Amino acid sequence: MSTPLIAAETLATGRLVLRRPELSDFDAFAAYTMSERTLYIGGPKSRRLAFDKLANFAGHWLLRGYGRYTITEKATGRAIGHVGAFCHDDSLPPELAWTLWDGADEGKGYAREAAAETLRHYRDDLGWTELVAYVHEDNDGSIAIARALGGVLSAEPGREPLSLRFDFDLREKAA
Amino acid sequence: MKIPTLHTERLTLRGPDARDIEPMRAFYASDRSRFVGGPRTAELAWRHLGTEIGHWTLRGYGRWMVEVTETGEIVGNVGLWNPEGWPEPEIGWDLFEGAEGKGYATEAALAARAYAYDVLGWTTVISLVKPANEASARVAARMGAFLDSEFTHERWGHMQVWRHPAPADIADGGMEAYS
Repeated sequence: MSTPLIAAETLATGRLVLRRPELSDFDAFAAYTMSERTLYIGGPKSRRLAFDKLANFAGHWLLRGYGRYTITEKATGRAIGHVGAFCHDDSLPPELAWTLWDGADEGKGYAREAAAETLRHYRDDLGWTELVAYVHEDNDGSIAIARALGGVLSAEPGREPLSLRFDFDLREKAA
Repeated sequence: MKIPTLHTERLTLRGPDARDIEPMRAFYASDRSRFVGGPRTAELAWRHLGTEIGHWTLRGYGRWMVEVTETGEIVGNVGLWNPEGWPEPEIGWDLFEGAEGKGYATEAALAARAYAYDVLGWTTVISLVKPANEASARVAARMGAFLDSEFTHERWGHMQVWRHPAPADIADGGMEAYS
């Protein structure tokens, strides 16, 4: 009786494979959760909360039929981040997130490559019309990705005091 | 993974899903959730339901929603729980408003224990009980568990560790739990 899957379980780009979260992701995800890389989203937090959150990523797939993917490097199979849409509030459009878990994986365009593929899937394969993303106002790297993906800075406030809201109008096929 | 369905004399234990959002919100909005991290906002209750479902994905076992088979009424949330930060895998039980006093928690938890021993091959299992939660301690005692030790959780604080009898020590052997 679980909600049928709406989104593809696996997506691939030139260098990446996106797949549903699993227990083998936990150590890398926990290291990220406990690191200063989460400062923009209210972290760092404990390994215990990392488990609850990774379980929530996995469970969201079964509640909504879509959810966040673990980003893996095609060449090595290594789990390096998460990306994809989720929705914790029915009154809001799905939210898109993209995160690399380790700073050593930055600067290669992985986050943008992964997020662009999920956007393509939601727009071209699923026919979704809108998504939002919330980015901390000091997170220059993520703001650049939001803009590169076609996000438009919204006049609406973000969820948190210092977060910006970007709207993605997927009816424009101009990407 | 496919979450198995268990049947007892009166109850059906099935995987949690989107039907359970409202019952979980109601439970976590009520004082009945005070021993298990509540009360929580609607959004946190929704997130917790996602975490419960995802626990099955990560661990291969988890908690079921409990329905009265005859009526379909959702009366609780019972099962096997082992998130990061737990001392070892446990059997937990939460009954929803109006479902207490009928033996449902014990009946469902016995089915969960039988599943842990007979299907998963566990050799021991505990239940964590907040010291003030006397109703829950009575369920543990009724199941033959004994007060074994204490545990302090980083968030939920001080808890009693009730240890269930080992598979060989359960007199009536295999349960009729999952027919």
